[in-house]
Amino acid sequence: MNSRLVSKGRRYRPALASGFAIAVLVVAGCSGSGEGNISSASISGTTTGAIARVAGTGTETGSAGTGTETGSASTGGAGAWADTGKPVDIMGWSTGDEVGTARADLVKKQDSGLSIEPDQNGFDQQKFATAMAGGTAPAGVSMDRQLLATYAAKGLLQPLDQCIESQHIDMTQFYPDAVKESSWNGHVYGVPEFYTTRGLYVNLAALKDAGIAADDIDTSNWDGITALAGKLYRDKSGKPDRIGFDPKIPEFLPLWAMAAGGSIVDDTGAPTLDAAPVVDALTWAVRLVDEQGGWASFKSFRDTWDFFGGKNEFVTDQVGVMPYEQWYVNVLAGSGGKADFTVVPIKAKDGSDLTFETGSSLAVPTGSPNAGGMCAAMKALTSTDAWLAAGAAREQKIEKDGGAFTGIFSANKTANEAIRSKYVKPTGDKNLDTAISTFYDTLDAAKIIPPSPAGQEIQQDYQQAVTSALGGADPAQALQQAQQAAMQAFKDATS
Amino acid sequence: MTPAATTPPAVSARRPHHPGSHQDFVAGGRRRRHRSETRAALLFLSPWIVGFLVFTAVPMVWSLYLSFTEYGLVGRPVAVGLHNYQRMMTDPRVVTALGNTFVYAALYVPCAIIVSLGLALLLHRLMRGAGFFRTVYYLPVMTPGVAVAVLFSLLLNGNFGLINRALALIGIRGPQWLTDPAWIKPSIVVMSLWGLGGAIVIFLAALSGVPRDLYEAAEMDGASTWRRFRSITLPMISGAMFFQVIVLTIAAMQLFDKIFVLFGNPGAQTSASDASLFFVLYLFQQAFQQLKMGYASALAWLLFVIIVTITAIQVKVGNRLVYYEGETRP
Repeated sequence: MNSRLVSKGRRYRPALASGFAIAVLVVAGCSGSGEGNISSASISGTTTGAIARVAGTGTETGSAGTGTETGSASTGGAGAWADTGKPVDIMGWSTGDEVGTARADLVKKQDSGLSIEPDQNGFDQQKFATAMAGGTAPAGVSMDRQLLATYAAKGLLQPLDQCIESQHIDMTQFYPDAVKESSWNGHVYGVPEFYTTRGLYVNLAALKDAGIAADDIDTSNWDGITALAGKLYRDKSGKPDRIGFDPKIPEFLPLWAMAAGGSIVDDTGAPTLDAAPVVDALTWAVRLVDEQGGWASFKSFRDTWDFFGGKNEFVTDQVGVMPYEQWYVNVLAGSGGKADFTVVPIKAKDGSDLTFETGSSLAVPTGSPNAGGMCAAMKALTSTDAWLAAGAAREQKIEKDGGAFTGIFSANKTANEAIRSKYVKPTGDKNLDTAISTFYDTLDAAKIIPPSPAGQEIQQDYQQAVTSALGGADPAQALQQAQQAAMQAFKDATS
Repeated sequence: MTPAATTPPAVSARRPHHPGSHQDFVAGGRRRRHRSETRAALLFLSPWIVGFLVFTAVPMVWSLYLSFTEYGLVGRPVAVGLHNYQRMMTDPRVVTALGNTFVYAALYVPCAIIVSLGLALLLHRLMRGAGFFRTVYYLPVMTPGVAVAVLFSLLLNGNFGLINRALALIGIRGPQWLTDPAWIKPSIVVMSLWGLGGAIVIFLAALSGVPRDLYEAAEMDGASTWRRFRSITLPMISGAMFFQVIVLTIAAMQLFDKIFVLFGNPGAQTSASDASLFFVLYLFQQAFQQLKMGYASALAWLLFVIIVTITAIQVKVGNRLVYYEGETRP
């Protein structure tokens, strides 16, 4: 009896433990397997609810849930894009300054039923991916247009064709390139918001020292730019003290490739990293950096700049010339007149004006709890009225705090022209006026990196090639390796 | 057959067993208490067990499943068999990332052991202000990795960083720590050594456990300081050191935050060539930037297998070298 009891007791403990473990496993397993299905189940479930309430049909949901290109937007009726009344939370879209706040306020004024909930931060890939995997897609998302095709190809965004049709969004008001950049495979996936172009920032004090006029800077002549960099470069104890010409690589390699008549991506979205113009651009840019102290020293010096501060590289005479984005005018103009600068157009090798543009677009994720509300919000936030309201708010702020109206550059061409004529006035500073007008005058010369479903990989691969070349690798070989990796990614994305 | 003939002598020496006797009653009480204690133990352990299952075991099984699929977050994973693992074998960036990670671990672990043990020995000898200095050395552990990375990006700036300025005072021209590919891994080692408070505390605890009489006896025998350290301190703290080697190796293989801040994210402080591509960073890029969850899961399992293998080797080797108090060896 005793041995039976002992044996029972021995059996009892593992049995209790395993019973408990199994119970927990069942619970965890249920939630686990549920979680596994959440991506699809709750996404389609949410969409089902939204659409069922509005359109009374569930036919569109399957498409939306599976995230194929023929999602609810393209196959569903206009009803699929009606407002469900749920809050329109836009991931990655923060009001930030008066430009965002004024537009959000106008939308609220125009449609009190539309409750826009801005994000606190910019677009975060991990946050978005996690939300989508967890079945908690936001109503909308604001992201860089260069990312749209990647997410669209993976089924994470809904095509907006029906939204555009049902809300009568006038896509002709936007710059065609911005719309092209927001499209993939014949469908529009984003409504363009901002339009950021590049110009050549010139440190006039440095130019004066070297006896060069701003008009003499001609980026169509790369040898001339190398010579200019040599004249403006200054070192102290063997370390750079002023960079003569900063080509801003790796980020701006696409610009220099365009200047050479090429592109890092072709019109089909395939990478062309080993094309001759790209190789030429990288070879030249690496040589330019090498002649100004070499990459390690060059980069270490650049990292010390107070880029957004009052002691920025123009105020402290640490750079001669560099290409950069238009919003940087505000930073330099806010330096209390200590930055002696202007902006001149970048020229392609054929002598024509050149810039490349990027910017954000508003989009609707697959499984959005209020795709209709987001569609209405996208239309309202990018309308000419909204941008004009932003212009008025900016002017009020300037009247109150001082400063110059340096322009608001949206992807809405009509709005840009209206804002320029209404609010952009001579500032009294000829060089600042030149800078502002350069950006306005080159808007139509903007080019884009064509959208690609492997855009992310291509970007990583070309940046890797640039840093390898800057580290001493042969530019052609580095780009060839990058091309192989990028092409594989493109094939994976399109197969 | 008598019981005495069939029972071994040791058992036969025990008192005869009478069912339902006081002996049985006592044994039953013990068993009941034992069961009750087991239940209580399981109850107390259950939060951890549930946490482990929900947040570790189930995700691990799920990620193992994903590693055999192609999964882009939306829709259902599509089974691709061993494709992700085959791809890993031909992906040159996996080799680069693993190479960088191994080199870093090989540099970091010995340095971390030497520095933390050295500091622990110094702190152990301190009579006055020991608490203050222990707190000071532990403070960096509480500093977020992101803040440490930003701080060191300034300290390690090749042209104007404080470290190179200090080196210049003694006539040494410091390297371009964060931009020269040859110096990237050493600079990350320097950065990581800053947060060794945890290791120091463990070594301090181990040093406190070394019996004083061993040192006194060695001193009476005329043993030098080095001999005492080598023959008493090191063997007596070898268990703690073994633990540190394993933990630090795993941490080195999983390094991410500092690398991501310095080299991996779009707004990175600086950028470098392949020298800054660490394995977990590559895994992150595949998962969250390129949305290849299946491939990223396969990479995670490769790392897991590598870490388990390294740990098994360390345990095998460690068992020969580590001294455990009270242990008898043949």
